[in-house]
Amino acid sequence: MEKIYRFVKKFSMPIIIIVILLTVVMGYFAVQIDIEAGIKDMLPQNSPVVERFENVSDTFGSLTYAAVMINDDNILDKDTLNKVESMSKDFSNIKGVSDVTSLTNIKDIKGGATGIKVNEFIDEVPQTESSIQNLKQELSDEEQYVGKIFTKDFKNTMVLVKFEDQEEPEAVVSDIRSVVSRYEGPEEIYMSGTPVIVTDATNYMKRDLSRLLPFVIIAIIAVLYISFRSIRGVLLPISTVLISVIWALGIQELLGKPLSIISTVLPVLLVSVGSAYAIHIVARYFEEVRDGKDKNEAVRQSIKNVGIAVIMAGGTTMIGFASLFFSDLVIIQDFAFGTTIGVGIALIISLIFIPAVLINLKVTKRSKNGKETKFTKSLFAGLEKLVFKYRTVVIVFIILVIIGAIWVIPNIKTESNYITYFKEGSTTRVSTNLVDERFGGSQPVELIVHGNIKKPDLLVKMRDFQEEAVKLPHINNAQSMVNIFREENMALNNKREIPTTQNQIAQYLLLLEMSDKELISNYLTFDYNTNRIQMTMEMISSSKQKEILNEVKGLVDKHFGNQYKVELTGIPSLSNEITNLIISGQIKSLISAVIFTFIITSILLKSIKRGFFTTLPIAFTVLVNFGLMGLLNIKLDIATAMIASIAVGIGVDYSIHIFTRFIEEGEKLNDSINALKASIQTVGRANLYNASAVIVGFAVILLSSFPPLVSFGGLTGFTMVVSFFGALVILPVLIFSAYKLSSNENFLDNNHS
Amino acid sequence: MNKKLTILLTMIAISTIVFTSSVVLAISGEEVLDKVDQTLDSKGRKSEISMTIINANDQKRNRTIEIISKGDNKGLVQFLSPADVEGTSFLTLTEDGKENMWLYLPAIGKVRKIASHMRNGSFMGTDFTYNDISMVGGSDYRDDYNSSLEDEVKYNGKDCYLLKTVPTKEDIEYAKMKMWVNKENYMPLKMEFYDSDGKLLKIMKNVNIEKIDGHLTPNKITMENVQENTKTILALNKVKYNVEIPDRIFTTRYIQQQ
Repeated sequence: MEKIYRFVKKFSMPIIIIVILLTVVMGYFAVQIDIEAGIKDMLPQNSPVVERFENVSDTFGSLTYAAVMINDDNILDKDTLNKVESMSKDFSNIKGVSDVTSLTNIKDIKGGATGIKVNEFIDEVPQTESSIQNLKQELSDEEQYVGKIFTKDFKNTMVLVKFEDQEEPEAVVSDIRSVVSRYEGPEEIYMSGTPVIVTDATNYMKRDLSRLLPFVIIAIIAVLYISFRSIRGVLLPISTVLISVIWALGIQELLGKPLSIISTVLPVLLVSVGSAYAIHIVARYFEEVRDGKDKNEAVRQSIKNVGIAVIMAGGTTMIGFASLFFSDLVIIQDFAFGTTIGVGIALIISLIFIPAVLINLKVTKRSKNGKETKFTKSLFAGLEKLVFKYRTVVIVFIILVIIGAIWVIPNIKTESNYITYFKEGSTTRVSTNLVDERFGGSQPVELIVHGNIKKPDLLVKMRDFQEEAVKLPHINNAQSMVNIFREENMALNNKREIPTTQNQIAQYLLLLEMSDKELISNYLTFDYNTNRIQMTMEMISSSKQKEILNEVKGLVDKHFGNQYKVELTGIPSLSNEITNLIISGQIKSLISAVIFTFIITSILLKSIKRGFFTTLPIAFTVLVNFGLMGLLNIKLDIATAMIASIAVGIGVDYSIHIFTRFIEEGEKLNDSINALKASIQTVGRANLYNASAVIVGFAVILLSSFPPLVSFGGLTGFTMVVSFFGALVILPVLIFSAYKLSSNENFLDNNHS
Repeated sequence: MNKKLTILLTMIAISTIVFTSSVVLAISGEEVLDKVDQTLDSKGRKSEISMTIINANDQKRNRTIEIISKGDNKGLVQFLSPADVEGTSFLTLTEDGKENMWLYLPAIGKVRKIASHMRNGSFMGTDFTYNDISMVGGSDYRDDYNSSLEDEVKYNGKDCYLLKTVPTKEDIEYAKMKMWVNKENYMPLKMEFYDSDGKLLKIMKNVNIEKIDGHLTPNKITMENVQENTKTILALNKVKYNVEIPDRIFTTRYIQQQ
């Protein structure tokens, strides 16, 4: 630590200049950073689930599409049809849109005595009432489009906008939205579909976080001012976090890593978390100054005494974040990367830049007069009482909380469906509910059946499967060659049945190939060996979704068994995989965070026992976090899944500071009880400032209008409160009980192992 | 309309698709056409063709068809393989300048008349449209196209006329065509088809041209759709000219009895 001090003393001015210059450069890059929102991007590229999804997209075209629903008294009137037609045209001109399906371009297989033809239903928009009635009659017979492209009552029609796979959905969605806004009124237009929902979620996050970030900063400034009553006590920690935010974002941009939907919380998180190290350094500096040290000595003592604790605290926080690397979800890994780097930067800035600035500042009068508020006084008196007088009560309370938490933890539900993030009544939710209700959903569920379509038994199996599948709740609109053949038969022979012999199937196909190649290629590969059954699923919760996907799998086994290889994919399969990975990633990263924290604290405190005690309060915090989630029915999703690891990383800091100070005071006072008391009184205050800053920072996120952010901010803030009390109550109680402390005795003498 | 060139084109189109060709002088187009008509009228022609349809991913479908034609108004295409489409027949008859097309699929039964607007559709899943292929039945382009001599160029080392032709009939969806015609024998070597936006859509090539029974015949015709990256290859397995073919073959009744 002495080396750091000497280095800072020698190069204080260059350090300041370099940090400022670097910040300007990084700032230039940081402002260019992009946000990405693809659902597929969350999963690792080598995941078999993603592979299957991409195989289907490669064979049959993209599975990503937006659903644009138009409501009117009569969708077949001239104005609305004209609107649908020109809107469809505008959509197909958008960069990143591969295909548009709407009432004005759906295909019809017509037949009868004069022959067979496939053409667009609506060649020309009907002008007269009678032609509208005719069209109505014709459309009503089209079972493959009723409930998919239009509703039976002709009050709703759907425009499906397919995305090219490689495009960023966000830009495409925003283009679609601007087209929609041009056509709105008197018809109502609603937008749904996975890319729309994901983009809405990202936009909400982006908007709320950029709106809230200034408030987070203001709140932390207020906390710092109340804590230190000094300009430099405010400016130094704040500049530390701002520098780390700028550097972290700049590095992300330089490495070409865009922010994901969850790493948008990165700035807020760093502002709250990164202030800790600066606060401890500055608090110690003020403490030393109060004791009458000059500025150099005060800086030296601060680095020497707090430096190791700060490094430990920063190290454990970095481990907490880095443990998220163990998640299989790419976006959580990216988040782990950004936060680990950001915390590392905050740590270095606090240890080098802040001392360099302090060395160049005069000791002011104010920094000598730390003020004690009534609140903190009684708070710390109360904490002391809890530790030394009501130990048993504390222990009983803790045990009860642990039992309660374990009791409710199994109730936690995992959620990866974005729609649940939106409040009831929000545009996104309303639109999606309407699309689900009128058109049976907008999430594609895809079944790939490997087998030659010319085998009549395969066709029968496909038909039987489809008939049962659409009877499942939330599954609708099953479409495949079965439907096309039936329409064809209807046109040829007025029978809505599938062909029954190989020759019939082959000739039905030949006839279709002659009429419209595309109609087939949506459902069948060129070699006739791969079939697609397309279904839609409504937007439902992850658990419900899993249930239904399992039922679909059951039907697949029932109908295709071992005879034909069948693959199930689609957006629900992807989000189901995300759900699975959230849980496995949660367990892996949590366990590794706790273990690494334990190892680090054991090494730095030179004792396994001490490492264990330091880790215990944080394990308690994690338990309480999950307990609260179970109790309040907060879903485990990509955001809340990170809280436990964050809590471990940040929360353990308070315990580390208490323990290191306890050792330091123990050496000085040779009286364990007083050493413990002194630790609570001194470093406990720094902990309080620190925790207040972090808690206030997260509490500001509670103001967000976006529910997942609210639960993220609330839960993280709450775990900070718990870990603060864990460090100041549980840890001392543990130390007290385990070492059976008494006055006039130094536990270090007996327990230095 | 430039009648001379129209007649020339008619001849070329016929020779291209029907694999019939006559060396004529461009000077008198009508004479040429009459001569072609005479040849086609008097004698029938039978050929067997292997069709390979290749999609954008280089996957292939193979089919074998037999083409029988008589005069400029009767044509019949029948599928020989694969077995599951064997007997599928496509009949073209032109009466009073009006062309009618029928399709018979044995497993489905009933002869179906092809709606006229489908002529721009794919012929049996190939890159040829009905319009491209309808020459089989001997329908003539006399009234369907306007054409003009654009240039005289070399193609594959041969002196060619470069023709530009524009359809006058609404139901032909090409905006225009370009044609490279061998000056020496009036055999078209290459044709380009442009879509309604004026963009290049398809390229047709006549390859391996040889004289069979006194008729210039391409052994291979390729049609490539450059927009969709698909290709159809027609390879001539057998051809016989001057065959006696009874008229009863070109009836809907006959194809159903097959």
